[in-house]
Amino acid sequence: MTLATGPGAPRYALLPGDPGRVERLLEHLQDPVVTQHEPPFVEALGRVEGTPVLVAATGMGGPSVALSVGRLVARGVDTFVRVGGAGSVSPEVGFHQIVVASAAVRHEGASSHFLPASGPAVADPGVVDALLRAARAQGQSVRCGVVHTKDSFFGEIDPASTPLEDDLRSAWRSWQRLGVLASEMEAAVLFCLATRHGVRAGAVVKVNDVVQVDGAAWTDDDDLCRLAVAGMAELIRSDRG
Amino acid sequence: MAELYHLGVATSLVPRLAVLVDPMLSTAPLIAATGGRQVATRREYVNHLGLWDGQPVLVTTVGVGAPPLAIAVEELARAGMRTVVLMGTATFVDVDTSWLLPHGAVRGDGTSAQYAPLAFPAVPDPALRAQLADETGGHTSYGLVETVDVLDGASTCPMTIAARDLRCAALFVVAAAKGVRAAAVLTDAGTPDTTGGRAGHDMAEAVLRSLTATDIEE
Repeated sequence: MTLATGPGAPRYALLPGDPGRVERLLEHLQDPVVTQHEPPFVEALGRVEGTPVLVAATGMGGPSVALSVGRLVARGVDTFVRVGGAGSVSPEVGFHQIVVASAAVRHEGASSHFLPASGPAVADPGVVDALLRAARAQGQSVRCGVVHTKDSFFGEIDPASTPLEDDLRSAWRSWQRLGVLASEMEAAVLFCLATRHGVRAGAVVKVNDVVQVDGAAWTDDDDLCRLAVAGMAELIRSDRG
Repeated sequence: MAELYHLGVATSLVPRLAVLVDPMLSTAPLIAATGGRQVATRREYVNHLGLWDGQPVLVTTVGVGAPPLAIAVEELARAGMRTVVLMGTATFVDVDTSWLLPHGAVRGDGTSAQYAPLAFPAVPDPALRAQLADETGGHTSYGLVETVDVLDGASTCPMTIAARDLRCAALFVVAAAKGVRAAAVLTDAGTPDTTGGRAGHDMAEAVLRSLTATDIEE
C-alpha cells in the first residue's frame, strides 16, 4: 500500500471511494495523468476550468477516509468532493437517484476522533450549493439532504445475518422517520474531519441498483462523475470571484 | 373550536409558513410587513397571523430555550405548518456579520435527544438555508452554533463554534422528525436589539421572501 506524502497537491480534490472510479472521473478532466497506481489510494491529476484538481481514491469506510484525507489536508488540499455509491434509506429515493449530502448521520466510529459526539457531521454549504447549481445546469434531478454513514456494509443490506438484527432494524426505521435519504460509508467522517481542520467538504452519491457479493454487477456512474466534476468547476469559478 | 394546546391558536388558522421569534427581539417589523393581527396569546406564545405575498404567515414568540420551541414546532407541524424560520439570539463567539446563519448545530441540549439519536446531525433544511443566504447576503454569514440549555454554564465543547444559543439543535432535529423545513438566523444577544429599526425591517422581509420562495419550490 502506498500513500503519497509529497507536497504540492492542488487545492481541489475529488474523492471516489472505489479506485476504479478514478479513471471514470478522469474522462471528464483535462490533461489527466495517473500518478499513483497502487490500490486503494490511487491518485491522479487533471484540470478543471484550467485549474489543477486531484483525484484521490479513499478506500472504503471511515478509517480509510481518515487516513487518506488527513494526509491530503496536510499536503494542502482544502476543498473536497466525495463521489460515491450508496443504498436507499427513504422510500422516496429510488435506484439510480443521485443525492447531494447536506449532512450525515454519524453511525460510525472514526468521526469521534475529530468532533465531539454532539457535533454535526455537516457539509460545507458552499460545496453543497455548487453541486446543486451544477445539477440544475445539467438538468439532472438530484435530491439534497441527510445521508447515513455506517461502518458495517452487511449490517445494512442483510441485518438478519447479524446478532444485532433487532437494533439495526429499529435504528433504520428511525433514520427513515427522520428523513434520511441514503446510506453510505464515508461522508460523516469526511465532514467531521473537514470541520475539525477548517477545510471544505461535500459529497454526492448515487444509489446502486444491485448489490452483488460476487462483484459482477455495477451501476453506471457517468452522470455521477459528470455532476461531481461540474460541481468542482462551479467552486473553482466562484473562488475566482 | 379546536385549538393548539399550548399556543392557543385555532387549528384551522395554522398556515404552511411560520416565523418563530426570540422574545428578546421585536416582532414589530414582521407584524408590519405581514399586516398581522393577534390571533392568540397563551403562556410564552404571542401569535400574529398575517399575509406575505398573498400567503398566510404566522409570527409566534417562543419563550426561552429548546423545550417551548419544540412544543411550538410540534403543535404547528401537527396542524399543517410546513416551513419555519427562527429569528433568534445567540452569544456570538466569532461572527463578522450582524446575523449568523447556522449551517449546523452542536447538540448540547436535552430536547433534541428525545427526538433522535445523537448521531443524527442537527442541520437546517438545505433549500431554505440557501434561500436565506441569497436573500440576506451581506448581513449573514455561515457558522456552527453550539446549542446548550444554560447559556452561562461552563461550555465543554472541544470544537470551534461561531456562537452559542438555546434553540437551534432542537429546531433542526424536531423539524426533521416532523418532516418540516426549518432554518434559523441569529443575532448577538450581547448587542442592543436592532430588529425594530430599518435593518430589522430589511431582515424581516428577507426572511418572509425566503419562506414563500422555498415553499413554492416544494
